[in-house]
This record gives sequence, C-alpha cells and structure tokens, in this order.
Amino acid sequence: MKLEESQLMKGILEGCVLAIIAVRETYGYEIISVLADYGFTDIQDGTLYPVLTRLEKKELIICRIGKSPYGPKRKYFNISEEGKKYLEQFKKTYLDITLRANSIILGDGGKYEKK
Amino acid sequence: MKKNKDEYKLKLTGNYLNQYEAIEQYIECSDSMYNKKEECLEEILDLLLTAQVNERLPEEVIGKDIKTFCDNVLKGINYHSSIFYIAVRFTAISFTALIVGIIFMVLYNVFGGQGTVVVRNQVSIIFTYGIALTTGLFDFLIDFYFRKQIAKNGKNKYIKFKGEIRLALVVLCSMLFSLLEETFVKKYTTLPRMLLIVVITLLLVAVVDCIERRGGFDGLNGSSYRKSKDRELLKTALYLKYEKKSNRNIRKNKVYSVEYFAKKQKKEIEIGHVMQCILFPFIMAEVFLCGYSILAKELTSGIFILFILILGLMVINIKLILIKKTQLKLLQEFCEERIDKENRNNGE
Repeated sequence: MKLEESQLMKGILEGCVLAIIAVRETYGYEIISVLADYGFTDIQDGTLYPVLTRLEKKELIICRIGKSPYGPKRKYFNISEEGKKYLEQFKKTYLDITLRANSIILGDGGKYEKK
Repeated sequence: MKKNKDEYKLKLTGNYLNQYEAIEQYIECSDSMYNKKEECLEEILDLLLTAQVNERLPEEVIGKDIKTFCDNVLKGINYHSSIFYIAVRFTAISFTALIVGIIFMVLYNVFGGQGTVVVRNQVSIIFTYGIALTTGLFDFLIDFYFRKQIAKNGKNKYIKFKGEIRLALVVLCSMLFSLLEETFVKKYTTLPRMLLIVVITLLLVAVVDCIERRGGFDGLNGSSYRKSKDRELLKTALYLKYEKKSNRNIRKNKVYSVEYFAKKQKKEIEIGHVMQCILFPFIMAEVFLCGYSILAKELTSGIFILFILILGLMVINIKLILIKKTQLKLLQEFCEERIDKENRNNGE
C-alpha cells in the first residue's frame, strides 16, 4: 500500500498542508518541498492537488492568483479564519488520538488481559 | 493565453518538456471544462519550470506515474459530477448532429436532390441521431485509447491527428447510415424535434450547474480561485469606471461623489440583470424563430420552440442572477474603500 493512498495519510496530510499554509502565504511547489524536507518524499503535486481543493472547498484556505518568476502564473494559498479555528481543533484531536493509539500500538497493546 | 503558455513551455527542456507534454495530452483527452484544464495546465507548467530551475527531477514533483498524477489533478479540478460532463459532451454532439442536419436540409433545398436522407424539409431521424450517437461513441473511444497509450508510453506523436481520425470515422458512419436508410423503415424528423432534444439537454446542464453552484450536491459553492478571479475583475472594472467618470466631470468642473457613482452603478446592475434575464432570451429566441421560419416555414411549432428557448435561457441566466449579490457587495466594498481613501487624502 502506497503511503499517499492510505486512509490514515489522507487525514494527516490535510492537517500538515494546513499547518504549512498557516505559517505564511505559500504555493504548490513550496508545500511539496517543505513536506519532502520533513521526509514526506512520496507526496507530489498530484497528491497535493485534491488536498488543496478539499481545503478550498471547505473554505479553510483562500486562493489567489499571483505572478510567478518562472511560469505564466502561480496560485498562492492563505489560511482563512475558519481554517485557523479548524487547525487548532485538528491539533487537539490529533494529539489526543495519537496519544491513545500510541499506547495501544507501540505500548501495552499486546499486554492486555482478558476480562 | 494559449500563446503565452506555449512561450513558457519552450523554456522547459529534456525530460521536463516530455513529461509536461504527456500531461498536457492526457488532460486534453479527459472530461473537464476547457478553462479548468487550461488553469491546471498553467499551474503544472509553473511547477515544472520551478522544479527545473531548482534542479529537482520531474519525478520528485509529479511522481513516476503520469496517469495517477493526472487522475488526481482531474479529481481536484472537477467540481461537478460526471453526469454534468456527460451532459456537456452530449450537448456538443447534439449540436453537431443539428448542424449536419441543417447542412443536408439546405443542400437539399438548394439543389433539390432526391436522396434518402432528406425528404422535403425533413431529415431522417436514423441519420441524424445515428451520427450523434456514433460521434459520441467515437469521441469517447478515441479519448480512452489515447489516455491508455499516454499512460503506457508517455507522449504520443499521433495525438495531433485525433480530430482527423474522428472526422473520418464520422464521415464513414454517415455513409453507412445513409445506406441503412434504404433497408430500414424511414422515419423523418423536423427541426423542432431535434431542437427540443438540444434544449432539454441544455436545460439539464443548466439545472445541474446551478444546483451545484448553489451548494446542492457536494456542499460546494465554486472555487475560491474562480471567486477571487471574478472579484478582482469586477473590482478593477469598478475602479476604472469611477476614474473615467470622475475625470470627465472634473474636466467639466462638476462635483462627482462616490455616493452618486454607487447609486448610478446600482441602477445599472439592476437594469443589466433585467436585460440579461428577460430581454436577452427573448431577443435570442426571436432571432432563432426568424431563422427557423425561413428554413421550415412552420410558425406553430416555431412558437413552441420560442417558449422552450426562453425557459432554457432563463434557467441558464440563474447564474447571472446569483452574481448580482456579489456585484452589489463589491460595489459597497468599493465605496467604503474609496471614501476611506478620500478621507485619508483630505487629512494629509
């Protein structure tokens, strides 16, 4: 199973992309580069495109067309007020879930006793 | 726009260019709206140019599989359901059938031929819809074949002949259908029936489009890209108009306030909408009816077409009714900005 195809990755990727956009206004190539720097080398523009569109549809990010130093034009992404609230909520949920899941998957998952 | 994109394309070299051209061909063979395809191709071009400048391999930004990449991109740009794109394709094909029918009818009227395809002012239904269906089928099959080839071998050198292949197949089919006419029972259709099919399809497209735009199907309300583009255009137009009118009044030593401009503009928007929503469909339908009367000399069915056309065009114009709200909001924003600016200038 490819990394980008997994259901687990889909949800997390949305959060990661939103967190990158939350730092400052950015564009597709830069998002891919940041993700690659953090080890997500499997994420390419094709994977990113539906994620960005989903975020845009949910009005979590705002998109504008700007000039590009190399190409005809470039899409720039900014986080919306709604997106900021969503990211805060996402962070809390993510921490809560990973904490509980880690304790099962990596911790004492195999040590439970039958009641 | 196309020339601009092609100029930038020439900046790509080697594998970057090959990959881009393969993506371009694959997307052009897929179902989506023309402007959406152009929009995403420009974005991909920028992505590959940036990757080339930063010496990153094309595989690092688009992956190894062109099909997966393009399918993901298309998933992102297609705001509508597949029914919508099928309806658009069918509308285009119905129009083709209609035009072919009209050409045959005109040729018959001009040369007074005794062929099996046209009898007096009627065109064979088997012939017309035979062409429409086979065109649709070939269109779909040719696109499907090329998509498979591109996914397997990358850029395809024969894709430039796509149009010619389709045309040759359609001509062959039309010949086959005119031969079949002699074997089967002849059924003829007049223009109103053909038009009715086109108008019903158009209505369906318009209804689906409107429902989707209003957030009916997937909770969507258009992309913010499109919204920002429209807003930018509308706002720039407002600024330019105000500047022009204000300069003209200054030259005449007249006072021209933002409030006055807004009031006039609001009235213009309202009148414009009445024009677009009522008068435009009427004018279009009248022109159409005239054309029809000349061709068929049947007024009763002409009135029926007029009614259907008005209805169809009014539904299509729901889009314009929806823009009205944004236009009025933009006008208000413009006024506030302008008043702020004028107040700042007066303060300085």
